[in-house]
Amino acid sequence: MLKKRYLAPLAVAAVIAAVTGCSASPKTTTSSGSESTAAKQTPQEAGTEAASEEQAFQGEKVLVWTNNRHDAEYMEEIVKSFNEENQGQIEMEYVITTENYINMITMAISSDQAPDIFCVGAATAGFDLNSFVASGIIQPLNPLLSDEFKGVYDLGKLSYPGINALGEDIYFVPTCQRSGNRLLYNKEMFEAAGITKDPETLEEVVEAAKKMTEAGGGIKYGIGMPGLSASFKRFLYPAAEVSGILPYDYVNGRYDFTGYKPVIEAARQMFTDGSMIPGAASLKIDPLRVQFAEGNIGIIGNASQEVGVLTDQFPAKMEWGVAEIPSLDGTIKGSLSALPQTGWAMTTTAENPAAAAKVIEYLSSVDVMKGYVEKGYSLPTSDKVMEAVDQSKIGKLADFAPLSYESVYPQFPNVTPQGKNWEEVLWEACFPEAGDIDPILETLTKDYNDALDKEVKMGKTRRLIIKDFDPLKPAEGTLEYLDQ
Amino acid sequence: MTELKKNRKGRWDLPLFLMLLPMMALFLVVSVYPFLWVVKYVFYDYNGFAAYPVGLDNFKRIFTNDPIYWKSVIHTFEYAFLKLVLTMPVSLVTAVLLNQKLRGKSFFRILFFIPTVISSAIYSLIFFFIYSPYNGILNNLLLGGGLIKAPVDWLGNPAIAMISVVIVALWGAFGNYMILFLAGLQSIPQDVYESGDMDGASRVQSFFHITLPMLGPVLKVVLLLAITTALKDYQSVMVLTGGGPRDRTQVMFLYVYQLMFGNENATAAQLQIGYGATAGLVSAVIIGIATFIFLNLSKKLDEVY
Repeated sequence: MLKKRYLAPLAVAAVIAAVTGCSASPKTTTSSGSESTAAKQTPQEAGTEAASEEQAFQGEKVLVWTNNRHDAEYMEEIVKSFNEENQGQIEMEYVITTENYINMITMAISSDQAPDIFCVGAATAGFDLNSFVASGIIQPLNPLLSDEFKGVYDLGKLSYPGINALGEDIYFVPTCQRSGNRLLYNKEMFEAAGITKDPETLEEVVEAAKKMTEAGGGIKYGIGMPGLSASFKRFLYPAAEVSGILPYDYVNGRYDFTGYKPVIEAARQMFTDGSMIPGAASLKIDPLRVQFAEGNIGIIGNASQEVGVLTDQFPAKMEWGVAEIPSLDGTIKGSLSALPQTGWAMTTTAENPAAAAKVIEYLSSVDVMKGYVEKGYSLPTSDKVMEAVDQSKIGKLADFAPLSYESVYPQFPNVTPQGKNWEEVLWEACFPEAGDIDPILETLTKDYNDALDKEVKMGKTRRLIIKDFDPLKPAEGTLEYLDQ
Repeated sequence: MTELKKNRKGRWDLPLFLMLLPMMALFLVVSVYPFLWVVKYVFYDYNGFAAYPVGLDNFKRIFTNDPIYWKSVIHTFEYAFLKLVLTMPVSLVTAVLLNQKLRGKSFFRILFFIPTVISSAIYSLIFFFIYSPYNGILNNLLLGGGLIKAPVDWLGNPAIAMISVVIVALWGAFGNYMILFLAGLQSIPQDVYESGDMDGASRVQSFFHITLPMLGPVLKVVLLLAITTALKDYQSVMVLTGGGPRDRTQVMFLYVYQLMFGNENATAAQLQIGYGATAGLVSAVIIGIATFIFLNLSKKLDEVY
């Protein structure tokens, strides 16, 4: 009997242990120093020697999170060589988490498992600098970065209000620049449809898409947009941008979506003409990329990351070209937004900020970035890196080199309306059966301004006003943040 | 209370209590705690970082200013109704057929049950490709057979998107209910059928006057399960249409999911966890009411002859 009485609690304890013990941890690619070096040459030898002599670390661990998977192979090498070089001092653990990235980070933070450093950029879905700073999640990097680093990255130039900087404080230094979006086209389809020059206006795009669809015999279609993956942002939004149409009126500090009407009309025309790939409404980005790579879509809109995608992920089976994004009437009335990305932010919980800063500097170093750019992953933000790059190796990435009218817009307040997000509303308005465009845009504008007024009042956000805002030089105005 | 904790000999019944503990702990952690959490956040505007108290604003919004939510409620019931109307007869008829002396019936039972053990996200993805208007298998078959002239946008056309989604749900669910019906059928005593035979009842008469009434209690449970799962379904809708086109297939819990966890088509949107919690709570109440009504209406099913 006695035995039995003790057996039950034991069994219970075992069950509890089994249930609570299985905490899930994301897949990690740690490379400890003991592993043998690959014969491949590692690109960092010279750069960090000096730095490692300055400060001695002992057995520090730095946990790094990223949502980049496309560069995993290269980064694994980099992490490995860092760990070999800093054996016994700093060990970098590099974790890739792509799904629900920002959600995963906030969850990790609220359960005390925060990474010391995480990769972030202007296009990271769900990342809002204001919220991260206001909640005390990340810390400014200015005091932690070495002069050597500041020599490579001009912090003054690379500080974008609301994106990576608030006032003087800079929270991550973007190492890469995602270009503004371009019009990517299938050269063979252009030829077959008798299109000889790049379309410069939206009307010409509508026309070209129609011609290509007609020449495509029901197999090939003129244009494609991924209805379920940031559909509005890839082609229509940048086309509006260069036409001087924006969601936010910086001068008056209010939302204004009414300017989008002609852009939506052009999109509707393409649906009506049957030029849009069938099923666009329920397409995600990857299936769309596949069809473009297979040569079944004439035009898509996207940015520099497509070089990697169409070379490695879905190798293109046709010749593709890159043209500037068209505007409404062929003249450029606003800047095309480029997005600074692949910066490394440091959490306030980082155990040894100096060690974490060293990892950041290493990941951003000229040698690491040189290899990164030459692999075609992205364009660099630093001129020093660009100078070091062997131009013959970057291939099609050269087609995405910054345009004279490319710029980074100050981040306007990100509010939550009582209704749908504007990106979705604008995309859904593009369907011909969506009804009158004017009332849709007016309601959207009203919903957003109501939300802005409300959130400013409750202290959730601040109104941004740039009285001298110039859409052609959006980064050069004087920013004012108002509490009313 | 102490009586509960002590056994007949007056000793603490520790083992019993400890054996209940894991279940209770799990119940507290995965049911009670999230529920309390949800109840707290219905009074906040919470984006995952900072919570701003907003009083009853979330309720005001859901009851006065959220047409998408109420559309999603209607769609949920439309989906549940269509799924039930299609699934129940198909499962029952299949179960009756597979309850006969039939060569290879075990094979068919397993075959039809397989969808139940596949994740709905996975089979929905397969159906996504089958439905694809561009180079999709279904369209190619129909075009090849001359049944349609142009490819049909099964998931993108608001007029047919819902029925396309329901067909996937039917495929995924009917095997499960078929097995439950089979269990019910096997519990009907053979002698009832024999006496029916002696009275000259036909096969069809036996089905309607013996099988159906005797299945009453099982039917009630199956219906209850089917209704509640259908009202809560959202995974396959998420994979197939993401709630589109233009909210035509938006259902309650997908809407809640998108509010709380975000939506790929609105990259910059902030999470609305407080409002999502409110929508989740209201949806739970709606499902509770629907279940209550069903239980009242279905009392008759318990009366077995």
